[in-house]
Amino acid sequence: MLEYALRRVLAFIPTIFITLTLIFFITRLVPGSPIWALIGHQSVDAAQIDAITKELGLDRPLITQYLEWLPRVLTGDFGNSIFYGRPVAQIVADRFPVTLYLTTIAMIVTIAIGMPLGIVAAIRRGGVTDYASNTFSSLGMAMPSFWLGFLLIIGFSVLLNWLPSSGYRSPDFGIWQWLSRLILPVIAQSLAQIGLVVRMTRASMIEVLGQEYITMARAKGLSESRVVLKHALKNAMIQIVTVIGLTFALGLGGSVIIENVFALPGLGQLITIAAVRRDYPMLEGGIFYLTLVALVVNLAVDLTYAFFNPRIRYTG
Amino acid sequence: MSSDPASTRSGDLLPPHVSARRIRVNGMFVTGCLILAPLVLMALSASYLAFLDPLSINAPEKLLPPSWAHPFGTDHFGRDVLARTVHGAQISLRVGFGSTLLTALFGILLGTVSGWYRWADAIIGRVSDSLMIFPGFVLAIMILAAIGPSELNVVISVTVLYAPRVIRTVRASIIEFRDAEFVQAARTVGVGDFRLLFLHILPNAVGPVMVQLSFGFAWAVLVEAGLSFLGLGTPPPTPSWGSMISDARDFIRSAWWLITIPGCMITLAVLGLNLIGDGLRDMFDPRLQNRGNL
Amino acid sequence: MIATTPSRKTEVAAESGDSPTSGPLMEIQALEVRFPGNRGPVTVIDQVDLAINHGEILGLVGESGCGKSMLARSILGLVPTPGKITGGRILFERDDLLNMSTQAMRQIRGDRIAIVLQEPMTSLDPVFTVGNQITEVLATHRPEMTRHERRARAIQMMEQVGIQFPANRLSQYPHELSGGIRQRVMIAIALICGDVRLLVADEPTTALDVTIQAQILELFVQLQAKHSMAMLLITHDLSVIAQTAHRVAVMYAGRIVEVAGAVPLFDGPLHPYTRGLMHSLPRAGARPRKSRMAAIPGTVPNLADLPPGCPFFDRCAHRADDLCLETMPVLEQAARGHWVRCHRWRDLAPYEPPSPQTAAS
Repeated sequence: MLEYALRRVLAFIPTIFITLTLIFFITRLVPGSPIWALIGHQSVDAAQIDAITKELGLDRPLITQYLEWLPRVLTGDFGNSIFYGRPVAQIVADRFPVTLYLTTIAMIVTIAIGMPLGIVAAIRRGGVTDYASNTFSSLGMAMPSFWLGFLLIIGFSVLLNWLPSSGYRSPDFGIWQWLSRLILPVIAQSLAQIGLVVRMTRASMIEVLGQEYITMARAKGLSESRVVLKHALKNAMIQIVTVIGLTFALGLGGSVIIENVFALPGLGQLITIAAVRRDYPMLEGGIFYLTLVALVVNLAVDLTYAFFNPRIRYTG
Repeated sequence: MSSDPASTRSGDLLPPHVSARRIRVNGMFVTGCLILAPLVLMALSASYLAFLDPLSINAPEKLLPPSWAHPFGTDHFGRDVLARTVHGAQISLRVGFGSTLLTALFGILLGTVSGWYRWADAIIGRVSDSLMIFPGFVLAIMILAAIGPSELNVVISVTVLYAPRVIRTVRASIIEFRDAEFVQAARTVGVGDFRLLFLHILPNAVGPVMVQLSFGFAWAVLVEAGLSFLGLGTPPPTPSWGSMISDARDFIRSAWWLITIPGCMITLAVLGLNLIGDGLRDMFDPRLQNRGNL
Repeated sequence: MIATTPSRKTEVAAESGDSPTSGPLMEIQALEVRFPGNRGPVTVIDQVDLAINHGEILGLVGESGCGKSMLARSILGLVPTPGKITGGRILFERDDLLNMSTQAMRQIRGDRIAIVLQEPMTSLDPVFTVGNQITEVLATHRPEMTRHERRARAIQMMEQVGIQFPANRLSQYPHELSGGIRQRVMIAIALICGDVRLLVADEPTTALDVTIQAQILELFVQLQAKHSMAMLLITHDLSVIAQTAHRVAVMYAGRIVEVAGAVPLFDGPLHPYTRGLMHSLPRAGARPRKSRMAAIPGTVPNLADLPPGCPFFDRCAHRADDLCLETMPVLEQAARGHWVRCHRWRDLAPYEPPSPQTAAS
């Protein structure tokens, strides 16, 4: 177990390098593009462009720039945002909690609803719950989350006037002030995730319930709830945990959209602003930190996976 | 995955091909096709229906609710929403289809090469795995920020986003057969690499890849909508479903039709494509039944 | 190696097999199990009558797909969905298991009736330790025992089934054990409550190495005598039956086709199917082979598509056209305790055992 964990953690280091390298080269796919971000829509002459190019070191070969860039960003310094004129790290730190709250709460809701629904659908296969949850998950996965977000705003904010339609308050303003602005985003974010988790949980449970050790558990005289919740669930968890990790990564990506729908000042909104305004330092920083969260969650999933699967613990 | 080399009798030189098996058309597949058919029809006919002009601005007729003249109403520029919806079908399905086609091309080609040649796997396999590090469609956002928003660029970025997944599938099925007995046997009787690959090994990957591509198509439609919503997709005034929703966000209090119609279209398209994917999966490999689609 | 001749068991077989009135431990009456099929229900167990006497080993033999495993699962009330028991009774110590509440049935399972399955790797849960899986049975049926007592009992049971260093094994996972030890763990699980009246062993040695097979079989015989329990030993391998069983039931296409004491059956099988099985059985001293069923031409018929008459008709060398094709034979008593389901058993020539040369080849 320890060896396995150590190996997973060590594998994390090259992944960080790969991530940063990809971010560097992809954002520079078009030569000189960061300049246009700086200039924006102002009219400038060629001499000014040259000056800025020199100043930013963009006239040097890409590799030289990369070798200069990499050690700097490894210390967490992505430079100053062109749009905001403040250090990227600072802006990211300000916005980080919003994204983390949104994705974490959405994930908790997803697991709390998706897993039990999937389990019941698997046990009552072909029953009413199964059909209902299948329809629900198919629709949930087909609806674009931003559209669902607007429908929720129309329903709960415009028509019913129960919840605020957008914006964000930090928990310092009080729990309700904070939570009320997250409820609709969380619903919009989780629906597709729930659909995915329901399907995967159902599939894993059905596979596990057909195994001989489940027959054996019943033959021992165990109660059905013990058969399902002890033997079947722990085995199914091996697969479900992986799905939860994948779903979380999808959720982080989805938060980019949801934060735009509900005007939540999180990392996702930051990335969109950076992408539209071509604010490259901010884009690089924002994407790196969002990806870092996904990688950390993935690592946690791998370690949890080992917890559920004794075969991994020993063989690595 | 689609067929097990161990299950072929020792007398057979080659594994059973997908095409050789009898495939029963399944209900989900048919339902998916029925849902998708009208949308495809809309997309194909859009350019020929001259009276449906998605761009003509008519200020006095702005924000009109559905009526006989404008069955889907008009938007804030007085443009006909029906016309925009029909043309939106064209954009969405064209982007989806284009990126699916490109994904298939690159996915199968690179997947085959990296599955067959170990040296290639070191490069292609690693790069494509690395591209999957980025959560969700963040990679597409990054690419579009670099190369700028346009329909073609959306196709490119969605391809880069999804191709690694197809590469992985193809590579896995190639590796499964690379060392199989029938491949060794075929080699000893002098069958060339190329012939072996394209006639005997690759056909076994057809099933899983088709399934994945239909889910990929659905995903491409969703991602295109999302990117257009964010302002990174097809630039205005082109009526993509995603940008129609984005335009409508300021009028959700007054003009419900503006936001509901394109959303329903996206949902129907994705639902139809996902059902086709589910159906294909059950048809190609009943063992994978009930599996999710990641 | 255990001798493959059934001589050792003769006395017991004669005793229990020939006195059906002494009140059997379990009596299966007209059992019927059906599965829904594409064209109406398929009957996989059809009108099965079978008695298992106290303390006997009843061998149940037949080709794969003949319904013997389904019969085993029916006894435990574990017919896999969407299958259903659609008729008959299973009397266990005079109570009908099929009329019992799930609660009552659960109390019997694992305590009075236990099962050992074919593949110990897949029938042990891979994510729980061996100790957990053994003591779990006690936790269910003997809730009054403390953790410590359960553990002690598990160690004792593991010793009894021949597992070395039982205390160490308790904390191991199934994948860390060899096939033979896994099957011993399965047996320990089955017997841990110490109150088993009927042990159902469904192909308990099929998945094991040949050398291990003999050890496990010997262990079964030993434990069966020690716990004085009855055992239903299901196998496709007649040589396993020859080594152990007191009585034998032969199953074909969901029906019992012949029942007899082990000695009468091996000396004079009546049903053409049983004779076919015998001809493929290696004699004493010969090494057991795989695929010994190949000696009977043809394959098991499709249960969804059975002819109205004898299910063995297509493969039978002694068939008489109209009667066999159109009418299902009934199970008739040919001698005391010897039952056969064949229209023509009286007309068949007396059985001649295959000569050693043909069997060994």
